Amino acid sequence: MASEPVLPPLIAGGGDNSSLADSAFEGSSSDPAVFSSDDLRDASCDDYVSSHRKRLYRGAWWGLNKTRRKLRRTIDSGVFMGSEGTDGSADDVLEELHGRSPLSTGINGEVRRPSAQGGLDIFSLASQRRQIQTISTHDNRFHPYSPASIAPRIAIESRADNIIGRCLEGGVDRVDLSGQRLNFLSNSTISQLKHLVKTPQYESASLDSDSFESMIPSIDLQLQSNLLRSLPSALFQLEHLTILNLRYNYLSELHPAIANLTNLEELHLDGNDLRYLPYEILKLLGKDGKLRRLLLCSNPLLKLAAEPIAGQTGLLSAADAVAEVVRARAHARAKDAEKRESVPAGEQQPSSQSHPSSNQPEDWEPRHLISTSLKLLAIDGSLYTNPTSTITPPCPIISSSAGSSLGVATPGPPSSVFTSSSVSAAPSLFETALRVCHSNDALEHLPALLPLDTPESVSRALRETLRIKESEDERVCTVCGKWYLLPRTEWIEWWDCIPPPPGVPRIPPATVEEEVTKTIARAVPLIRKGCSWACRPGVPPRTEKAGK
Amino acid sequence: MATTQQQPSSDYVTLVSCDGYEFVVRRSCACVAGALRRMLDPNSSFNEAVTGRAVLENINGIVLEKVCEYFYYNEKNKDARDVPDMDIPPELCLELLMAADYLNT
Repeated sequence: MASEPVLPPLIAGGGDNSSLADSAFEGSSSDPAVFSSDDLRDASCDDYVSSHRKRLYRGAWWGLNKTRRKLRRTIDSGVFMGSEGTDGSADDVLEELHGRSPLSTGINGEVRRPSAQGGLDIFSLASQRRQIQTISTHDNRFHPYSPASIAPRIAIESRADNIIGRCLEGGVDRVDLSGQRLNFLSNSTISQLKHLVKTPQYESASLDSDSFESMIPSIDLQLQSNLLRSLPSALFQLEHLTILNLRYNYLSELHPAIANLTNLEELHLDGNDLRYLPYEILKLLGKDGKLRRLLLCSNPLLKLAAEPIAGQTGLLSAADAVAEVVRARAHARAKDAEKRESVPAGEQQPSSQSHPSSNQPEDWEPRHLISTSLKLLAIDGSLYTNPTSTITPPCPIISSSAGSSLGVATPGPPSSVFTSSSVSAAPSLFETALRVCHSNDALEHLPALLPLDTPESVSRALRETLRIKESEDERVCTVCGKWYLLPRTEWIEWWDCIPPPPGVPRIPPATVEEEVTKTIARAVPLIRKGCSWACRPGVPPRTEKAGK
Repeated sequence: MATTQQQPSSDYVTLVSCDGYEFVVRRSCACVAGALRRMLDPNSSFNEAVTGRAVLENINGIVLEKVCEYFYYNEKNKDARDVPDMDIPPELCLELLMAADYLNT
């Protein structure tokens, strides 16, 4: 204790010390510090420790300037916060609230600012709730975006949530959500399935070396007989999805992200409103893909035979064009058959009686039959009409749900378009600017910043960009494989791409004509979109690296 | 290139922003934009086509500079397989969007 160094004596507060401090700091180079209390009399740096010179104020800082305010209010309910203008009338508001609705007294202790509409809001909310309950019991086909649908949507969704939760707990990889009247499925519900882990079945397991089974789940998601109009994007991230049953829903488009489901073996799409499938589905159907069962019955698919197709030699009926393709193929096959003994690859009518199995004929692969002519889209994604030519495409315009329109079987665009400088592989400036908007964190506030006289095309494009960003929609050009926001070209290709049922003996068609009719009946329309006018049919995909 | 088959008109055109900045760009580049192509078409009798000078009343100098940059970027990457992204400062995105819509680029 004795060895402890002696601290210098504290400067005692007092008037005398100020003169001492003054002399000590006289002549120092820096200016005296400025304090907020400097406007007080005799205030300076050296008074800092002498507290008695400061203005004494005890209380909260916000009361500092309002000390003369009359605080007459004595209500201390803990609910109301005093705010400007309502101090005097707080009593009235409280009475008003009590009179109108019993709900008003502090739901969950929440603090409500008393306002003129406060009581009304709560009142209408309560009545709305009652309404919603009645709706949910009687009507299940309401519009999905009306405010009244929110509560039932949550109820239905929570049911789906429960089922998925049970599957997760039990380690069951067959998730049955069929017939649940689901009209909406959120990303958060579906993405739980990512964490599904299979539980080993001990009772059936014997300890042979063969009995090792994979713990990687092969999810079988049954969503048939629901009211789905669109699918959540999280669904396309379930890489272990093996069977996806979407029968009898109201899907009008299948998202290209379906190609991410590389383990998909069965896809049931019967009884929807599909007019075409995305081109990307071919990735699942080819040699690399596993999809072996694709059911498409009773969909309003675009029919091949109905449309005349613009061929190289002018208009040509689709049947003729397909017949050419099939004849060429039959010819090639006949040559093949001469070489080999076995007759390969007869064609089978797609039937739903098949069973998924792996003995896929090796020589089967999707074949391109025919394409519609190209549909050029303007920079904002609307249909391009050549301003210099007066010919309007005399085509049946089929509007797709994405808002753009599809002309099926138009005569090709005037060749002058392609010689002009407008064909470029580079994205348009509009698209470039949209991409910058897309990567902007404040995208949702951007439409509000637009001037009042903004053209509709700009605000529409911005809204579309926002929608794309929110739904995490990844659009990739089917020709060059690049990411884009607004498509510039669109066309439909018919492919002979329904896998033949394995196990059924193959009967080669008797005549070429029979094969033609069967092929036409089986053809699936696939929509392709390109990111620039340079991405059009006949342009080889980037992987082939073919020069122009 | 397609629009310069008639040689009397110059290979270069002048674009003027609303605040008076002038940009002299190659005609073939400027004609990437549909609106400019029609304005500067040598076959037309627009004043812009005769003088080779287009005044863009609703595009300011900063944006027009970026637009001209885009014209050359587009010309350069016309047939490119791997088109690099163009550098655009985020604060210009809305104005560029409006300009692109106006110019139909």
